[in-house]
Amino acid sequence: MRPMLSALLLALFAISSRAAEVKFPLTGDNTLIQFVGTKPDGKHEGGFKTVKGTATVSGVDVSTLKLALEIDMDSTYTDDPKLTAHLKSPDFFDVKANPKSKFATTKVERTGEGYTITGDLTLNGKTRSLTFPAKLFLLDGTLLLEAEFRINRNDFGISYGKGKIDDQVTLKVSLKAKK
Amino acid sequence: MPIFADLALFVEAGLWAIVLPASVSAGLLALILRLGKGRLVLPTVALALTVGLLVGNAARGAIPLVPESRAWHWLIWMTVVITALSLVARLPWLPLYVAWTVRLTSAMLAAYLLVSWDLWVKGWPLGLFLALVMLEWGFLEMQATRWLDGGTPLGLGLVFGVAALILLHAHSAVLADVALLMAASLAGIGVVAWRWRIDTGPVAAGSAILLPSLLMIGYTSTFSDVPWSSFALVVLAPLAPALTYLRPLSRLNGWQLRMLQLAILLLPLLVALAQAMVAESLAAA
Repeated sequence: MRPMLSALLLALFAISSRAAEVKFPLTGDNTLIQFVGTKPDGKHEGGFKTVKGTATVSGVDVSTLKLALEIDMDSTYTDDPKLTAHLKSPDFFDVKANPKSKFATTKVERTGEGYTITGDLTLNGKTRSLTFPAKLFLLDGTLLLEAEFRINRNDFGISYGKGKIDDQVTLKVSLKAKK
Repeated sequence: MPIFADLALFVEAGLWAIVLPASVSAGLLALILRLGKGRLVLPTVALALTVGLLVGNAARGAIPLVPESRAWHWLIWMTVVITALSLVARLPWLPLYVAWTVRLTSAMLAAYLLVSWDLWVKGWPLGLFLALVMLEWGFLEMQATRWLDGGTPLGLGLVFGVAALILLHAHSAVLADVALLMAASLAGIGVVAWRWRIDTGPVAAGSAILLPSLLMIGYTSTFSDVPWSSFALVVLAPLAPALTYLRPLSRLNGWQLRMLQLAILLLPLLVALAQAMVAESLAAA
């Protein structure tokens, strides 16, 4: 009888652990997504103002992180309004045809220095899998994520200005969300 | 990432988007006309236009050679296909109603690929698009067949050149490139036609499809303060010379009529360009 009771308690504990998933709502206020585009004679910085989604963590283990983000591409901003208009045109993001970009994690792994996040990024209507290093913490009920990595814009069908604008674009993600 | 930040970019654009397609279309047309002793003019004009456009696009890399889901990816291929279909519509033994059915079917095919679904649903933009394409196709073909002085392709080259500037002011260099490639290919044909005095009718179909499609896509997919009237004036400009067929202007003939047609063509283009320049500058970021 006693082993059966133990097994039952264990199962109940497992269920309650799973139920301890914590959801963190993500918005443009707590999730900063910025980019840096470079060219031989300079660079431009920008980002996206409107972001929404959720980050889910089971208990306090951040390696269980599930991130689902949606970016409103019309909220693109840069250090130059004309550049912003150009980026939203068919030359780059083609915002009228692809108003949303998405990112969803598929795997989060602990590494020596931090974590490696793998996920699917949908940009300009194309979905590609990305893996990038990230710093990830859960402190006092606040989820913190910092990441900086590069993507090749050609992978997302953004090839305007080949040779004049660098293919590699730096993405910076900074997240500080409370449940 | 500014558009045309310096002189080097202008020179590069001039070389690949203007000089190359213009040379290819002019060279090919002149060569085949010379070898063929002036026979097969219509297919040769169609070939020169499409090869100029495709070679220019391949060199400039404006639109992917294999179209994806975007309407604007089909702009050049659609121009090529419709230009070929226009040759069918001009077969001398074809009954008139069949010829116009071919033209209407071609325009509907273009609308299917180039007009966005939300405009299809609204209805009237689609009807306007089809009406414009048919009107411009018919009028431009009539002009090109009547005037063997290369004026029609040269005038259309001017229209596409202004379209390129409008699209640049609207912050789309890719769409501006497409307009520039068409302008250059037409100019190449116009110069040879002026020298050989040939029927350049096959330039009508491609122009009638590409001009409204390109500017409609340009207007709906860009983010700028360039007013809709700027785009509309360029789309309507090729029809402006039709006013010279009304009395009392229809009494004119010869070079006086051609000069007047040029002036009437220029008027909406200049207004459109001025509006675009006032609305948005090309100042580099």
